[in-house]
This record gives sequence, C-alpha cells and structure tokens, in this order.
Amino acid sequence: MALADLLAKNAFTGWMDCSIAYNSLTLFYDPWEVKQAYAAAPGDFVVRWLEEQLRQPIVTAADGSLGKEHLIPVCYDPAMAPDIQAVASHTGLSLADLVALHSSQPYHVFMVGFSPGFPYLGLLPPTLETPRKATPALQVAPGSVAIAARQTGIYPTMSSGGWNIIGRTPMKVFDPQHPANCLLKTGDIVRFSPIDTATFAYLNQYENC
Amino acid sequence: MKIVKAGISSVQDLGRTGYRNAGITTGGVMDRMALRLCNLLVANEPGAACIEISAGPWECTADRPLLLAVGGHGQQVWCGERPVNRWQPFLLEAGEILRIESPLGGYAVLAVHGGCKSPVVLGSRSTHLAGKFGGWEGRLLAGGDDIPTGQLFSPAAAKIISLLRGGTGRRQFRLSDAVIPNYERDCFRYVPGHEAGWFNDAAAESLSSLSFILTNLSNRTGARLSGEPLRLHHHQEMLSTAVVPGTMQVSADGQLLVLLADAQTAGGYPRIGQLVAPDIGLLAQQKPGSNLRFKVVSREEAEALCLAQQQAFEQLRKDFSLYFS
Repeated sequence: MALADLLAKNAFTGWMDCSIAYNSLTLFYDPWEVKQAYAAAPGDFVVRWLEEQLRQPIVTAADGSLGKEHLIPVCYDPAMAPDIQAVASHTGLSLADLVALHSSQPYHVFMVGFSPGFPYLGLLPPTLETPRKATPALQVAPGSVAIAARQTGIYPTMSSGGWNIIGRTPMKVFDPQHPANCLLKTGDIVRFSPIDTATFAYLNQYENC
Repeated sequence: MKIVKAGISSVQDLGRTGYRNAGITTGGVMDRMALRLCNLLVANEPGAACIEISAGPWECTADRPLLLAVGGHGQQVWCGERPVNRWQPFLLEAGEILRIESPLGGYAVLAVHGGCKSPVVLGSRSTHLAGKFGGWEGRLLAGGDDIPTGQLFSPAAAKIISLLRGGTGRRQFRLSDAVIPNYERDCFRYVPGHEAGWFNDAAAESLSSLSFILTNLSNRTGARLSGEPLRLHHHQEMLSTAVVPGTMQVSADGQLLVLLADAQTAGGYPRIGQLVAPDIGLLAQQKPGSNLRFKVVSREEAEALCLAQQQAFEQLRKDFSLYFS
C-alpha cells in the first residue's frame, strides 16, 4: 500500500490507476499518452520508471497500523444466513460455536474488489475453512456476510455469488449514492459483532429488504 | 431524447478510471472504437456518452431535430420509414421515430450530437449496472425515459446538418470501409498472461491452433467460450488479482472466459492471455455460435497495434476537423 501511494504520488503522464491485490500491484497506463509525452516505447518507459521508483525507500506507518478499525454488526440468524447450516455440518461446529469463532478475531482487509466495495477479509480460523458452493446463488442479499476457503467477505450489493452466506450486516458497505465512499479500504481491520434480528431491524440501512 | 421502446440499452461512455481499489470497474461501452467513430460523425468529443443497445426493438423520438450516428455489427436502423446506414450521420426530425433492430445480437452505439447528459458519477456518465449508479438512475433504460442531450454551438455540426438537409454529399459522410472496424475478423490476438506458464503444452497448442465457439452465456461482463479444455500442469490455487477487459481466464473445467467491459476488478482464475486492446471490441461484437481463433503476439507487437489504431483515429479526427471547419 505504501508502494501504491508512492507510485501514485509520482505518477507520470498517461498514468491511469494502480490496483492492490493480496500479493500484487497492477499499474494501468495509456500507451498513447505515454508515447506522446515521452516519445518512448510506452512499455519500456513504464518498466524503467518503475525500476527507478523501486530504488526509493518505501515508508510504511511506523506503528505498523495500516488503516481504520471497524466493528461490523452481523445477524447470524438462519433466516438471513441460508448457508450457515451447511457450513456448520461441513466444519462439525454447532451454530453457536460457529458464530463465536467467526466473531472472535480481527480480520485484515486484504483487498477490495470483485464488485464495488466487496472486501476480501482474512484469514479465517482454519476450523471455519469451507469451500465455495458448487453452484453460485443467483441472488445474494446486500450486506450478506460470507465465507470461502480461508476468506470472509461482505456482499455490498445484490449480486450472484458462490461464497457461503452465514449472516447479514445491516450496515451499508457500499452506497450507490456515494460510490467513492466505500466503508472498508484495503489495510483496514474488521471485527464482527453478533446481533439478533430485532437489532438488525433497528440498525438496518437497506430499504425494503 | 425520449425512449419509446428500450430493448436492452444503457447510457455508456468510455468509463471511469481511478477507482479500481474500491472495486469499481472501468465499464463503459463494449466497443470503444465504435463509440469514438460515431462521436466523430456527430461532431462530439470521442468520449461523449451514447446509448448502447444490445437487444431491440429499440425506439426513440425527440421534440427537436437530433444529429445522430449508429455504429455496430449487423444492426438495422430506420428513421421513420426510411432505412439509415450505420457509420454515417443522419438527422432525426422532431416527432420522427428512430428504430433500431439487432437481429443478430451485438452492441449498437447510438451517438447523439451534444452527448447524452446523464449525471457524471466518478468522472463518467456510464451506467454501472452492478453498483446501480451512473448512467440513467444506475439502471437499464426503460420506455418513457427522457434523456437530456447537450446543445452545443458547433460549426462542424452546423455544417454537417446543413449538408444533410441540402441532400448533397450524403454518401460522402459514410466512414470509409478502411476505418470501419473489421467485424469479420475471426482471429483475435493476445499476449501471454501471467499464468500462461501454468498450462501444459497441449493447452498452448490448442489455444493457438484450434477454434473455440462463442456460447450464448456471454454478456457485458464476459464471453464464455467452449472448446478443447485447457489444462494446467498441476492443480494450483491462485490468490485473486487484477483482471481487466480482454483478460482470458480459464475456469476449473478448462474453458475460456474472455472478460469484457463490465469485468470485475479482481479474479482468481489463471490468466492464460490478454487480448490486445483493439481486438476486445471486435470480440464483443461476435455472435453466439461463432468460431473464434487466437494468435499469440509479443508485448511489443501488441503495443504497436494499439498505437497504430490510435494514430489512425487521430489522423481521421484531423481530416474530419479540416473538412468540417
């Protein structure tokens, strides 16, 4: 992330974006703009530029903290968690233990992607590891909290999805009215806090769901 | 511009850049060159917002004359009762009905002088269908929608309109065949992807020598192909990383998925290749059932193809502005 910030700060003409994933950074540029600005073969120019940037020291936050910490309320009631029984039987846990385990530890936001605002969180305790569903659900309710392999995530918008839904948060993690204001950013820390259906209804930020 | 029949259509431009870390894709039209060419024909900037139509019947009308152009592959266009060619500007007079049919699928671009003035969200007027924002209320168009279009004082547009009204030179306005995208191309060029080395030799051989059928499981997100399964040396799990329009992913069953304009920002399937930019729009316009072939090129060749396409477009733009100023 520090590297992404450094690169963005020193951006060249033709720079478009730099995206962060688990273990990779991807740089996007417009070859035509680069060619116009620097009269060089665009790919070679960008590689040379990157090599130059990588010679600089990369400064990370001194206290090791990266981003904000969030407490996200989640209702694990089976009515909002279509796959929680399947996960319970796969892992051999009782529903209560499953909920306790999922909400017992902090998670890193490794990246935001797939769909707008979708946070890839991890790592799950090994006991909760569950493979993706064989057939993705066609409609996953917005706010659904799901797990797949050793990751957990939150579906920000109604979409299809192959992860196992084990709960739902009443919080909007992505607001189409304010698409730039994603709740969670790469580097943030997330903790889940179990709530009941009445609290869900009280906190619910989604319309007609 | 009042939509009478919406078919499957949405407001699109060249998309939004800079928001990939929020999971927000570039999006925009499926056929970027078609948009730039049609915008040129109606005296717009290349990235002005248009209506993209992927299924008809589509109809609109307006209470003032509109200068329009349609691009795409295989669509039929009528202005009232008179058929209109693609790739040339025409006038829709007040009260007339414009009708577009897409019997073979594909993505029609309808450019209007002044552009479609849906609100700008994150630097673009494109509809982000998954995020339900941008474009027209973040959704597909519906009958009854009234899309504002810009009114510009443009000498070029005035000249085009007066020539069209005068009835002279109507033919001259059609783009020459040399610049109209070649949708007959059935061989698509790609550079090897980051995980190309994960695949066995048979997969590389199949990809360069066999053809793959475009299935009807294809949409704005991607085109699913069916053919000889492409296999890895050995099973390998990968961590999700960036994918973009043109990324050629291979799913667990060995089938190719070529991502298109609304591709998600990250994916976890091995990337066997990346289409060269000029071929992405051409592939997007192919009909389900088509046989597609692929040809590997080097990064330098891909770059040269990309720059040559842009160079040709800039030249055309220059010629156009000389002619119409």
